[in-house]
Amino acid sequence: MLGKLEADARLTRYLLGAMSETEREDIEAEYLSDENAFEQMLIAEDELVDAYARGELSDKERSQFEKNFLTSARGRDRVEFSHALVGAVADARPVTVKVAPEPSPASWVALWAAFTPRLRVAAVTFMASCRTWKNAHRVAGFAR
Amino acid sequence: MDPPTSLKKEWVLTKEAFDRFLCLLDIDRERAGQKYESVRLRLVKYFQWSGALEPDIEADETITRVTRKIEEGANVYNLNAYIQGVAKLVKAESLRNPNRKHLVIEDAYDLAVTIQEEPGKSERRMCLDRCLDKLPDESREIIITYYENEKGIRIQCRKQLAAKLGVTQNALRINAHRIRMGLETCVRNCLANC
Repeated sequence: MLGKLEADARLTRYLLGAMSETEREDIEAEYLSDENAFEQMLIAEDELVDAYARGELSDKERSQFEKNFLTSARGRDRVEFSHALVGAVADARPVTVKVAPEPSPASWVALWAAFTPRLRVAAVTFMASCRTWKNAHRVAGFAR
Repeated sequence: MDPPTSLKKEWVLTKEAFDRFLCLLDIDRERAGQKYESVRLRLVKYFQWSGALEPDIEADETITRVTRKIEEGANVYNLNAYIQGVAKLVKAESLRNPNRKHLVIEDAYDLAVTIQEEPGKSERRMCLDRCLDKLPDESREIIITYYENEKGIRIQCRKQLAAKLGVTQNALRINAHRIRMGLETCVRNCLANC
């Protein structure tokens, strides 16, 4: 069974007209007979139209999209709606910059727990060398 | 034997024939109506995604031909599969049609520029603002959070929104899509009344 990302990529390739006729027929048989598969296609279409409206497609994808979607009034209507939606959503809320919080002691514990034993040894050795270097530096300062 | 093509074109869809088609979709009239809408939308999308210039017309042609076959007494054991078969034929005929207008790529670019260069607040945008205002608070919040921000941040925001609502990311995708479909219908109606 395909993973979610792979499945989405497959639907996107279908919508862009970038697959073989046999693959196309498989997808068509799926969504023409299954409501859920059809809804997933519509969602993939939403995502693709939005990506086009936001300028997030590669040159090749954009060209494929324009060739496949802008030929029908329905396709153009969807793109126009997406442009309006992107604008309306941007105006609906002032832009807020989300700053990642400073790592708390608890995050350090979590980070430590995520380390493999070999990484832990390396981290301890590194910190010990830093301390030794710092002490040696301080001693040298006193000596001067 | 099938009648010649010239005769096929003369067949006109009647109320009785259409009722028979609806009956095959569902015995209950209301449910049959809903199923008809669903079948038609799938066909429209099928033709649209196949690059048809007029997907609505080709979807209706498919339904008319299926209805006619039923009226003529064809044994249809699996209606869905039958519709699919007829749709494929309609698509193949449409691709073979020498009169079919091909939109050259330059025209598509021109259309792209027209779409992107809408000055000021368009009627569509004003309608959309109105439709957004009519949404219940939770739906409005979902739509805004789901579609705001740049690509990378957007994915993160969607994960957080799904967690906040206590649903899977796929359930959130479906929910946002359904709200969006409602909005698109609302905007279409609003534009039609402008």
